[in-house]
Amino acid sequence: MQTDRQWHFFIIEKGGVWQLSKVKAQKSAREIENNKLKYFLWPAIIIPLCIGIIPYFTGIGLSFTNWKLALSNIRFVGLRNYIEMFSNPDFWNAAKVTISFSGLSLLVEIVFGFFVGWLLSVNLKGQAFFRSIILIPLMVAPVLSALMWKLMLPQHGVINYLLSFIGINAVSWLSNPHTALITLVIIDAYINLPFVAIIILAGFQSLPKEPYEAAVVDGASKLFIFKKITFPLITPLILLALIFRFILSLKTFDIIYATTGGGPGNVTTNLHLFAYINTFKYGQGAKSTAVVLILFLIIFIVSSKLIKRWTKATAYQK
Amino acid sequence: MYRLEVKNIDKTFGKVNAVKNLSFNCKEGETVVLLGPTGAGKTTTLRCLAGLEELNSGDVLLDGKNINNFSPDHREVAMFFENYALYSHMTVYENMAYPLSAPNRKNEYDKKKIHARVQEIAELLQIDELLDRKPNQLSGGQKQRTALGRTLVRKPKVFLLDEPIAHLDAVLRHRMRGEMKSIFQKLQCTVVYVTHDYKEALSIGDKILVIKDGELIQLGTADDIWSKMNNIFVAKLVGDPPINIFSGTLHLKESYLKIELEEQKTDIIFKSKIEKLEKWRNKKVLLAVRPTDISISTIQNSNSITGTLSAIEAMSSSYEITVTDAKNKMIKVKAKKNFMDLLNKKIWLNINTEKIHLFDLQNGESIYHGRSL
Amino acid sequence: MEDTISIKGKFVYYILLIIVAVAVLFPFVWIFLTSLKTPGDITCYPPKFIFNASWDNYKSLFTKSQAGAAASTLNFSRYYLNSLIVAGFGTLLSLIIGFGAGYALTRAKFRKEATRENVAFTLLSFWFGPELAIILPLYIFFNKFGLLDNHFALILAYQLIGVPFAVWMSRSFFSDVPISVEEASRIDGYTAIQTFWKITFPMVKSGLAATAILTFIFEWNNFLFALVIGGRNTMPVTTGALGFISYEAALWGQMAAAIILSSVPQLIIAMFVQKNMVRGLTFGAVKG
Repeated sequence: MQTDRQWHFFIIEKGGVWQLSKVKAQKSAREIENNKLKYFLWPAIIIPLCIGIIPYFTGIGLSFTNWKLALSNIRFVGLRNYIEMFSNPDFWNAAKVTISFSGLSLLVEIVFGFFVGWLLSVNLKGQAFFRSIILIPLMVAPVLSALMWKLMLPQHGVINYLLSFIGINAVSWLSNPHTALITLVIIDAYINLPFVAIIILAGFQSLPKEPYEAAVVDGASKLFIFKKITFPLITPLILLALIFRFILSLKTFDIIYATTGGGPGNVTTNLHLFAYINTFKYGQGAKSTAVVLILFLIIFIVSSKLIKRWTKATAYQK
Repeated sequence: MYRLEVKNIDKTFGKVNAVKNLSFNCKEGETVVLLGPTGAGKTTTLRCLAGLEELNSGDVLLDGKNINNFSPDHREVAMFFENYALYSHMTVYENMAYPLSAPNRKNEYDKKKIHARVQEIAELLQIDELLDRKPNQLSGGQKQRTALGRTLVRKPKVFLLDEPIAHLDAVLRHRMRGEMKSIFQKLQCTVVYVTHDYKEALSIGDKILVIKDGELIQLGTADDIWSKMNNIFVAKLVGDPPINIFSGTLHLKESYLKIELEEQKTDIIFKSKIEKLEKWRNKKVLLAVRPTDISISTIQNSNSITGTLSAIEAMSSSYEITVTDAKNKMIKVKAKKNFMDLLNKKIWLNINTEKIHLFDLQNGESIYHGRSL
Repeated sequence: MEDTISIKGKFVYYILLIIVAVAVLFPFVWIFLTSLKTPGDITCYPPKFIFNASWDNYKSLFTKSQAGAAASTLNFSRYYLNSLIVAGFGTLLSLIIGFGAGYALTRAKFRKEATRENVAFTLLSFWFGPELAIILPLYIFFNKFGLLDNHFALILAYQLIGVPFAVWMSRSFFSDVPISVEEASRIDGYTAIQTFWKITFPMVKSGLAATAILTFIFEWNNFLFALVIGGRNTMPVTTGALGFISYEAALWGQMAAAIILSSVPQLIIAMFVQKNMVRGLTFGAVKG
């Protein structure tokens, strides 16, 4: 079976213009040249790039227009949306909520996630069972998990009932402005702590034995072993979990929408939800796009830095 | 017509010129060895022959036909990879049958023929008991033989082998060195063999190319490489323990020649045709002499170097004796006796002037070889 | 770490593990119980742990006769079907595009090695952004062409979730296959495409399967795309489940049943990806 490659396609630059050029391969029928796998490979890379880039760049363009949901006459308005955004107190409230929600969630998830991950790494019988249990919240749709909690949390719900046994008075957790945010943090932790836990678990399971054996021979104390051997080896994974959770937490939408819808008032309205409400309730399309893009920029910059640090930390492993 | 002709091939990776203007020929049934240290460009050359790398310039001809533009699957070569590259999801049998069941070879081999051929090669390499195993169930030596089997199972025009026995343990390597030669002869293979081990090169190669930094240093037979090295690099590469090198000044007298060794404060006197060495009169040269061509004595002689016998190592068929001179240079001598009684004593070394080699100090080129063995 | 733990130590560990397990399982257990309760039992306080169980809630999900005006617009079987269609075909498309790009990224010869990482990172960065950044432009676009509430449009939109993931995951698995093995196959007489199917693909089969399953789960779990770009006809279970609670009626029991039914398939499937789970969830960053 011989395939004849008659033509070579490639992109060349001719006088400052990119052109798709076709050259007939000077090959006889018997001389085969199908080494150029990369010509088949380029479309495979370019298509996804285009699918992704086009919406983002359209969005960037949109943020400089006056697009409202019902408006068909879209005009360019420069930086007006961005300026208005920065002088809008609701925007700053959403920013504050984003920071407090994500900050708290990250703290809870990383700290307790590390603990649970470590717990699951201990060599005990039946660990397989516990390890598969922890996967459950990761598989179920976050929206559905949030709805489960919504069902359990009303004034006369089962959570309050159980809490009454330890002397905590019943609270309407999700509709009380003082408790709504914290409750959401807990729901978020329920859904996402397992993620941190399994990463940490994987980390503990892949720790090399040799440093520990050497340390025992050298007579090191348990604390020393933890500080100097375990922690440095686990740190890249903590960092990785942090990167993932950071990116995902800042864009949290599902669970807030399903439980509180941003309320009561705008106590639980983070930037992502703020953009949504602004668009579909108030029709402020372009302004919301501006908000979302600022959020994206923050996520991108911080996570890029974190990823660089993670790459450095894991470089020695390669 | 040669089976394989390599003409002035050149391969560059970015800024690194890995193969510089290399040329050689290979007759049918011949084994050509590419010998050199790591990074010399030997593997790159092999990959160019296989079609895995594109040449920057030069030509590769197989039976007279230019195959520069042929993809690997059409070149009719078989290759052994240094890391074995076994198909881990297939059994040993399937690994070996794989080349024979290639779609473009469906006409040549049917199931029966494949089975017979795999069986034949497996028996030759003594892995016929392992045919049902998967690579992860094999030892290092068994993996190597499986990879070799996969390479030998076809009848291509040229076999390309990249360090086939480099990663085996010493005993196995020693045994395989002998077996490889007989396998090649039995199957009448034309082979291009890459190695960094000079012993393999000398025992297996009909023709040896010594390569350094992509350039050809010397092309010759085993004898040429061993006793008629054309460069100090070749002299240092070949020999265990390595050749001893001294620097000195060449003086041409009426009836003899003298090399004044600076550090050892000795003169080495020998006879030879003076005209040939006229160019190096009173110039500094390098004197190289093999450990086997030095003898230990308790009596001072005209060509003696003085030193202390500092170490004795017992080898399989001789003793390796280290002598340290006044400036702490270690001179290696190979001897049949162990000279235990002279340990740490002052002794004299006699150099066999019929077996010395002289090299230019600046460019390492060979100037003179003692009368051949 | 420690090879032998004292009995007292083991006891403490098990207690802690059980606490964690209970915390994780309790909501599911409670929801399952709720799904078996009658409306009266659901709203009574203190909550009942023992009651008369019935499958009514489940039954009513699949029949059109449901109490309450709002109920008549709920169509759970439709939601489920939509989820299957959109996540199913969406995953298929994501895998085709994603695996292709993943393999290309691993094997293509770039003039500068840095370009390879830059392209890969760019593809990954699509996943960094808040979904609305893509959804709002898509909304305008689809609106103009009447593609809102359209299965095809939704499947296309889902690619923005599936493709970066499939690319990174498959890239991780493909780069585990040493290139020398593919080269050996080429020399043995096979073309590049034959090499891919006979050598590369079998070696990454289990990894690709895990990728496929996780992609399906992520696309099934999606909410925001379905909310904005989907509509009444294309509503999957994620947005559909919200419909059970509205101003008219709070059909907790049916919502609970809906949640259980919507989660079960993933739980079963997830059992099959255990091996590559961590690798999958971290986009191939942790080999687990």
